[in-house]
Amino acid sequence: MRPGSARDWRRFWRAWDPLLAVPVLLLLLAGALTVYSATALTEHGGTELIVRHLFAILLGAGAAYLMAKIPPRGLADFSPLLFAGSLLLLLLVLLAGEVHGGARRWLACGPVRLQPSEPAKLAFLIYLAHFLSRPGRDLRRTSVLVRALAVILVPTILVLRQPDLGTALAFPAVGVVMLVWWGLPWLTLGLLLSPFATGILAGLRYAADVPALLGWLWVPVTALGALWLRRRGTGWVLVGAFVLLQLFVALEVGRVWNGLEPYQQARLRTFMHPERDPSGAGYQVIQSKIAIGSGCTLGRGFGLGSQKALAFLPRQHTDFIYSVVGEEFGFLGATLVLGLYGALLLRGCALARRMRSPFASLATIGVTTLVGYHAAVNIGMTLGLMPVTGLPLPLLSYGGSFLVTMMAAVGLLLGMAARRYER
Amino acid sequence: MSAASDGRLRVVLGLAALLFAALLLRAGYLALGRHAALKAEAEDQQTQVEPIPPPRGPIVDRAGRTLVCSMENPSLVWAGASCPELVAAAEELARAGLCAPEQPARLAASRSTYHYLTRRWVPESFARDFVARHPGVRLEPEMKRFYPSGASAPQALGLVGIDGAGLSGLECQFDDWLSGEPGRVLRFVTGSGRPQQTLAPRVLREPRPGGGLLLSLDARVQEVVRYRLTEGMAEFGAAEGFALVLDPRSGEILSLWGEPSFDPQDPGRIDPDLLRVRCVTDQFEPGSTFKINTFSAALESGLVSPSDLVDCGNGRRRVPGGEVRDVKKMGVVTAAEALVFSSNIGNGIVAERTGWQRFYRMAQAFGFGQPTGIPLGGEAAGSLPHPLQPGWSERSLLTIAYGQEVSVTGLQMALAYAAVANDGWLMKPLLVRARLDPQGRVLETFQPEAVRRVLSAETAVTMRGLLRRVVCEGTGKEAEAASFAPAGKTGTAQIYDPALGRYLGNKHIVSFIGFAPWDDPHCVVAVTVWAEGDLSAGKVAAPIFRRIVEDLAWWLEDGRASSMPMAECIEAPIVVPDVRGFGVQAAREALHAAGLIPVLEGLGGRVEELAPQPYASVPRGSVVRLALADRDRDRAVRVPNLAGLSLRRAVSLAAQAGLAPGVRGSGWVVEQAPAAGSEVPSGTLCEIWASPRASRAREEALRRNEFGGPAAGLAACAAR
Repeated sequence: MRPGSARDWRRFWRAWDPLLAVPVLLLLLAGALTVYSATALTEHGGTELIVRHLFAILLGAGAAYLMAKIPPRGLADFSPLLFAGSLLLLLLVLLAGEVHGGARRWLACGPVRLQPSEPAKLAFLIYLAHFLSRPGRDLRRTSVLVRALAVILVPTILVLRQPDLGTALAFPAVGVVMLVWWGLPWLTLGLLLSPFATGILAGLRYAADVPALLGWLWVPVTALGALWLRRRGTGWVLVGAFVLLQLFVALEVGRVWNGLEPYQQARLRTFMHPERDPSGAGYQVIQSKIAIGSGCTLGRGFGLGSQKALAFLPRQHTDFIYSVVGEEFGFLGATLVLGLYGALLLRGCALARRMRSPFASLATIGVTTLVGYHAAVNIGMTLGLMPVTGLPLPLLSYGGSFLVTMMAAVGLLLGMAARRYER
Repeated sequence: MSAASDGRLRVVLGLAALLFAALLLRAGYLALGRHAALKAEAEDQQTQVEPIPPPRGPIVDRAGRTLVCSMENPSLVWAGASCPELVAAAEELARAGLCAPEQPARLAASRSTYHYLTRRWVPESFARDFVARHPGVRLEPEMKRFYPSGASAPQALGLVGIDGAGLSGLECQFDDWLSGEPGRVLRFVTGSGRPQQTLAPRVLREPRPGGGLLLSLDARVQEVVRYRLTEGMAEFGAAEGFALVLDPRSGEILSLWGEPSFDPQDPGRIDPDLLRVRCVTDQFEPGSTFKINTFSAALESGLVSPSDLVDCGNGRRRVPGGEVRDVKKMGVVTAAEALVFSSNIGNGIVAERTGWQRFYRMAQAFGFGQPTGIPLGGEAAGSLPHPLQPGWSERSLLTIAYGQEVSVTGLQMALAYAAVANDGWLMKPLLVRARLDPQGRVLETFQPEAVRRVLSAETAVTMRGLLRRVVCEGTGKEAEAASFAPAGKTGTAQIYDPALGRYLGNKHIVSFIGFAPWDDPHCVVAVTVWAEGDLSAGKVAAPIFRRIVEDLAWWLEDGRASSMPMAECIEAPIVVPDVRGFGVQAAREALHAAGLIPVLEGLGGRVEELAPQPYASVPRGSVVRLALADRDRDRAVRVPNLAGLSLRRAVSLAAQAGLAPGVRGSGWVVEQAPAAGSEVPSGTLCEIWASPRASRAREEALRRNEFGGPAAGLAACAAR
């Protein structure tokens, strides 16, 4: 690029959308600083992990550049192959993955350890965007809807088998938002989500210390739903099917609960009452809250967090990195990071609205949702608002596969932003 | 996109905004609303308040020589689970005698994740070398009791436990004074509960160091007594015994040594039996040494004079319930001769003429049957039967008169003789002469105290003359020393076994208690040995007494030590010795001997620089910082010839040559290892054996004698 030329500057401005790139760069910077603080500036700390983290950022930058350079059309054409490949890898993990902490999530390839579920998220959303953007893909048609749901459910089930609940739920979360974006009728959405709502309501029975009556809340809710359907003029047969479905789900919840891994049960239970088990499953949340609480307004200063330094925080450079941010940079830092994610989300939505190409618009909303879902679930977890799922914080957390995937997704976003007026 | 999708966008964004608002509110609630509570919780779990052990005060002898002090010394620790490397390291330590022999097995079976390999005193250079050779072993600095002059009165000083509490002896009796007051430190701990290194601990309160004690003991006297007693006991194959030296004029105890003894620096597992101060805790039937009471009572009453005749009945006298016999059969002799030749019969007659009331009163006046009040734990009172008590038979007076049916402690006996030597004044035993503050200044002195006048001065003089005759012509001939005219009395007592209900035939308690010079006594020496076989006091205890008296010549010659003003010897400024170039151990010992406290700084095997400067005058107990360097650590040095030198000179010479002197004994050097002229690496231990009054003849005797002497040590070296 030749500096000085106004034309070039405009092109550069468009190629690297600053409203998107600046928050991303700031988040990466905050991430590198915090990972350094959480690994090197601790008891028995070393610089090995921060070096690996910086290496992953470099790798991610390369991936982002590649994704930005590939024309969206070419990517769309290529996406079935990508999706098939990532499904294959997910299958391979189930057959020959490495087991860590009771879950089979990693594929070892020499010194590199890959977590295929991370790139699978990206491949999935690109493929779903490609699938939906083909001509004639109207979600009001049952066949299209069923095929779209199948695209969502196959990777979800494969990841659930690892088992990795948090990551598995990323697929339906991203998928459903993309479907809504693509015009999924609200009624269909309601019907699709109703079994899950019923399941959660009926599942309250298994949480400790919940009034027994609350476990039956699903009954009036289902009745209201049926009434609303009737008033819209839905046929009796359909309403009956709806009620039967809820009944079936409510009865099945018990079996599903028993089928959950014990660590999942423990996490869900302690999410309700972390103080019940201060040394066990509740420990992480309690320590995280203490860290954020001791940060106060401005934090204890970079590198000075004692919760972090003394290794009270669990997995402080990966899942609980937001607690380190809260402890060392205070409420101000926590707000800033949250604000950067918010800016990213807003810019993503704004871009998605302006995209001329349906594929690009869908992919943009998908990537935005992916980042937003991870950020919200992870931060919610560190604040004790959501159960501990083991999802890392995008662009901040240490973790090679995830960081590279996220940077590739951002690269894709930037590439599409640069070509936003192309059809 | 279309307007329809704008509506959808709004819904999606609205939901996202709600979610983010919830997160922001929650973060604000935690960080601002609950800050105080959560911060308190953080501090509560991250810190713990621990005591800082205060430096324990030193105990010094009468001349200010440190007998024991607290020093920082590394313990060897292993942070981690038990593994073969740990066991191998422990085995090496056990071979070096730095940990208990069973330690490797114990560590091999341990399930802990933090192990002490040893908490004994480990030479610093050895520790550093050991850590370098064994990765995983770490040094943990601890305050430990250090005995610069080796085992000096270990029973009286007592032991200090690993936790720094006095367990026995003076360490226990004066624990409150010596131990000081612990400080408090706020330490940070990690999430896994381990101590950590990232954050510096915060001292909340500095510890107050413990005060010191100045004893009446004299390390040199102690060394003489130890050497002579062990030598003599080895000669006669005795396992138990004690010797006591005190100044009769003040009641100050100059030395008390009991055998079997132990090395306080290397305690390991000590049989608690070894910890007792035998001359204070053990009561026994004294035998003929008790005749001093009979004659004191008789002469003091004026009813018997030394020239009165008594009929010893040719060594046999029938008494109700049996017969009293004498070893030496005599006819009619003077009362004086009855004492000099230790006739039990003659002694009984003297007691009968005196009458039991006077006899009993005199025994009470001497302090028999009552504790002396010495500040040592477990003091026995002995027993003095009263004639009106049950168990008193018609022959009891006769029996008690020659020291059976009555029990005493060694200290009581020695004090009784001291009363005779001190013109009839019975003194309270004085072991602690002063309390020192942590800086070593005298805070409070304890003056000699007379308990009561037991004898008139005339009687005391007469008694001294009689006791002198015992040594000149009687049973104590073996006690006669070449140059000083000692006086004293033998005693051979049978041992009553309560289990068997009778006296043992093949074991005796043999004693010799006396003083020298007889006409102006400067010291009382009491030797008591549990002798196997048919040995008499004159054969066993008297020669030991003689050797001790001869070795104490310097003491008897100037006789001034007792009157030396304490403030002068404690508070006189000390000249910092020039220890530049010394090995670490040698420099430390030199400074300790001078009454200074060495503090090591930096790493290395040799002293490079010291502050304050050498030859500066500083108060006793000042800290001297030694800057260490490793300049010529592996240099080979030539061992100098030390034979015949004074110990002080030999130690300084060896240290200057770059060797670490290890001293056994005191006085003049008789042997050394490695041999003079050999080339060894710098810092090698150079063992020096010294003996007081190392005359040629005695050197020869030492060579012949296997016990503890240099010959044995050299043989052991050669075997290694």
